[in-house]
Amino acid sequence: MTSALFTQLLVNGLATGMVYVLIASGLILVLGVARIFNFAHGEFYMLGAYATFALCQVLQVNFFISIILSMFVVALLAAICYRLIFHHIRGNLLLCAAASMGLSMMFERGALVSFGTQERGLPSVFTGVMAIGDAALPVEKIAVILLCVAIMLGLYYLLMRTKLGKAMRAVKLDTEVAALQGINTTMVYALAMAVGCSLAGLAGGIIAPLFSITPNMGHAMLLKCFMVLIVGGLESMLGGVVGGLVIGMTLSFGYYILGGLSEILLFSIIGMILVFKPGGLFGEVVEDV
Amino acid sequence: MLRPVAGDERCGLKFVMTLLETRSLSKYFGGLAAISQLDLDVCPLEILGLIGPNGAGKTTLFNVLNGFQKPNEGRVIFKGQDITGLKAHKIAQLGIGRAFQASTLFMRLTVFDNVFNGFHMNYKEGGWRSFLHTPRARKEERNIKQRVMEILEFMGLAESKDQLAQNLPYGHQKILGVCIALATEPTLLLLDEPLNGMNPEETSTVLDLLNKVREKGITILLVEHNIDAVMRICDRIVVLNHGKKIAEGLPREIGNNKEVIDAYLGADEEVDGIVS
Amino acid sequence: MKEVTVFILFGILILLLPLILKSPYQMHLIIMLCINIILAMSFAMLFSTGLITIGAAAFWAVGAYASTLFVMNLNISFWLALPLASVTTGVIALVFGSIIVRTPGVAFVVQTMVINMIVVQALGQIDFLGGWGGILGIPRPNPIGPIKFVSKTHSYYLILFLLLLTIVLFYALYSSRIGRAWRSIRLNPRLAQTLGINLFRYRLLAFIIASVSAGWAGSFYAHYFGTIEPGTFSVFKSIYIQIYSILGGLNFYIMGPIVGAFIMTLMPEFLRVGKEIEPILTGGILVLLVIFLPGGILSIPERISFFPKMLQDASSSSRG
Repeated sequence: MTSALFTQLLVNGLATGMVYVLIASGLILVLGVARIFNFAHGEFYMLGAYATFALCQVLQVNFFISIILSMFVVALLAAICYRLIFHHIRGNLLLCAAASMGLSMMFERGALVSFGTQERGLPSVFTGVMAIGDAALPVEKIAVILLCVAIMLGLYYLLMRTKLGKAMRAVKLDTEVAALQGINTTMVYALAMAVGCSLAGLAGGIIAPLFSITPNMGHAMLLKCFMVLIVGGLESMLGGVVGGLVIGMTLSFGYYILGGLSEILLFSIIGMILVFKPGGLFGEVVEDV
Repeated sequence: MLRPVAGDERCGLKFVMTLLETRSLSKYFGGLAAISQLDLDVCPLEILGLIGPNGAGKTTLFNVLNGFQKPNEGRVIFKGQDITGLKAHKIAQLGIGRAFQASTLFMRLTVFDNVFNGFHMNYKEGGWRSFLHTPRARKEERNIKQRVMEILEFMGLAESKDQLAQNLPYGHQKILGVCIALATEPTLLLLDEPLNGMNPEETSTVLDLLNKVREKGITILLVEHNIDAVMRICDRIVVLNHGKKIAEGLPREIGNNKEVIDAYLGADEEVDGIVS
Repeated sequence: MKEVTVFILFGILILLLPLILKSPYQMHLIIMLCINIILAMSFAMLFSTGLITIGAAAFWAVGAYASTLFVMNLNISFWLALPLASVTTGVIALVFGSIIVRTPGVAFVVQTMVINMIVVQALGQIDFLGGWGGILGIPRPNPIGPIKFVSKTHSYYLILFLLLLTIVLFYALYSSRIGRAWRSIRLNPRLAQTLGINLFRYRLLAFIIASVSAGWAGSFYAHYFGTIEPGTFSVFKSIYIQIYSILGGLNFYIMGPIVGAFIMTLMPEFLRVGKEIEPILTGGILVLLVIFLPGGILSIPERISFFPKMLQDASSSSRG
């Protein structure tokens, strides 16, 4: 393999991987802080993509502003869902799973009915290639990587340096103690859900120019997301990062090596982690929540 | 396992086989030692009290003895067998039972069903035969139902047998927890704050019951904050602080032990009657 | 006495159903209903130990494909293929189960979904198994005497028999020491451990039995429907299986699936909604159900205070 090819595959894997990291981080945040298992997480990604499409293509809004606006739309929707639905069933795995599956069905079909089955797309904002060393790398993939990294850095800042972030971490550690410290836990849960789903929505907006937008793109993404969780564990952000990058790289290099059978490589990795490290690379086996 | 047990005239012989012993037991969480180099002996048929301020490591010790946690160092030896690191269900099968601090019950089942489920280990016609509902299996089930009633009557909960566990008053829930533990027919019973939240009358009742439990041949290791009760019922007392044993001996010795008194006063504890 | 009479009347109704319903399409619905009940019971069995699966359809698939291969490639009689396929499903369940039952909770749900997807992908990609188009022309069960299993009526009695067998089997399990252990695990795993219950073993047992029952439902389905394709066995179906159980009532491991599957299988016929809109309604109902009636339909009597006496029935009930 030439170094140029290697670099291309690497960048490819990074781009795909960072998108997975973004979405999985959202899911992990919601799971850890609000203790909600959100099966509709992929649908927020899908809605983010459609919202960006609608703003950008239909209303001719600038791409970057579209992404930010759709993030707010998704965040608002998530907060509403929290207040109406998840607030009452927080912590109960089955009820959350069932409710979010119901939401997932409604959103997906809703999108289908509203937007139709035809694939939508956005024209690329970043065109052309740039050269790094020998390799000719598509600028849009580099842009995706940079955008995702920027957002993850923003997330890091939010969690580590802001009051909200500290509150979230406190709640994640021990809900009762956090409440005793005067933290408004309901607010934190709702915001965690809003932030978590926004991450998915942002990811949807970012990839809108790259991939076709369909109503069921959320399903496929959720599956990848779950794979990230299996690899990296359910608990930690670090697990989400590592898991996402592993999956992204596996798909990228695997496609080159094995073509359509790259999924077998993926399944093998997942299988091995399940057998040898059942809680994921960074997780622990925890008895029922 | 033959150890001299200091000052314990009640055991008769000066040398007695300990039922449970821990040797240099340590458990760390992160960098913090919840239990540190703990040597503990439990004599057969005694009621051993374990006291200490909050955070002294008592519940952690129970979790290790139970099998819910693995110790970082040291050994636990039960009836002469090394049980260190065994899984919780295995330890239960070997004869260590536990009643929990919080109401750990099958909340949505009736009192009767709670205790009935406790008999899980004590079937002879388990597995296939139970599934096939053979005549013997059904007979055994009737037999077990009888034993459930015996325990409920013994502990005074017979009237509530059809009540849902979640509807019981807190004191009764704690007693139910002990009933379930009794159903497992343990050799050693770990009781985690059984008197928590009880008024003096209830406390007396429970203390009487504990004596009767011991008479049935069950050794009791008791964690309690009600020092007065501990003085009344325990044969010996061990005091923990910061995960270490700071005192051990007969109730009257412990009551006068300066270090123990300091530990409690120093920890801003609200404790019943330590200063006599 | 009244209850027994109701039961008997109901039993007669079920047995005489083919005489009452004339249209083959209606019979088809009832047959699918019976299959769905078995699948829902499979979900419920896992739930009785506190495990939530969205991969039940995968084992339904294993049973269907295994049975098909045994009959079509190895020329075995259906009546031998059915148990063989069940055993095959059991072995695969043992393998997967041993790995994933170690991690209950969210991890388990996630893993069952991924397994379901992997199975569907594998069935689709492997040409030997028919690929995405699936396998067509699966033969009917071998005739027993004059019974040829071509008509819906014969198929109906066969699935009815399988269903009743499953119900009896499950009931025997739930009312035994095993069922009590499962309930203990579901209600309080910590406490269950102190009662000497090996969580892993009992959960694995439930996983295997649940999967095997989905397996024989699959074997029947393949030879009844004549065609199997990977798309039928997707996570989507697994989610619907879960809905059957939730709708009926999660605390009722046998009646719940029956009620839930009944409503979900037959309701679309009465509502005549477009196939596209139907999931929106189902999704909406699911959300409302979770918020307002999480115990399912069978929990309604509890909520009306007329019925408290009915609830305090014999101590070893198979509920809860």
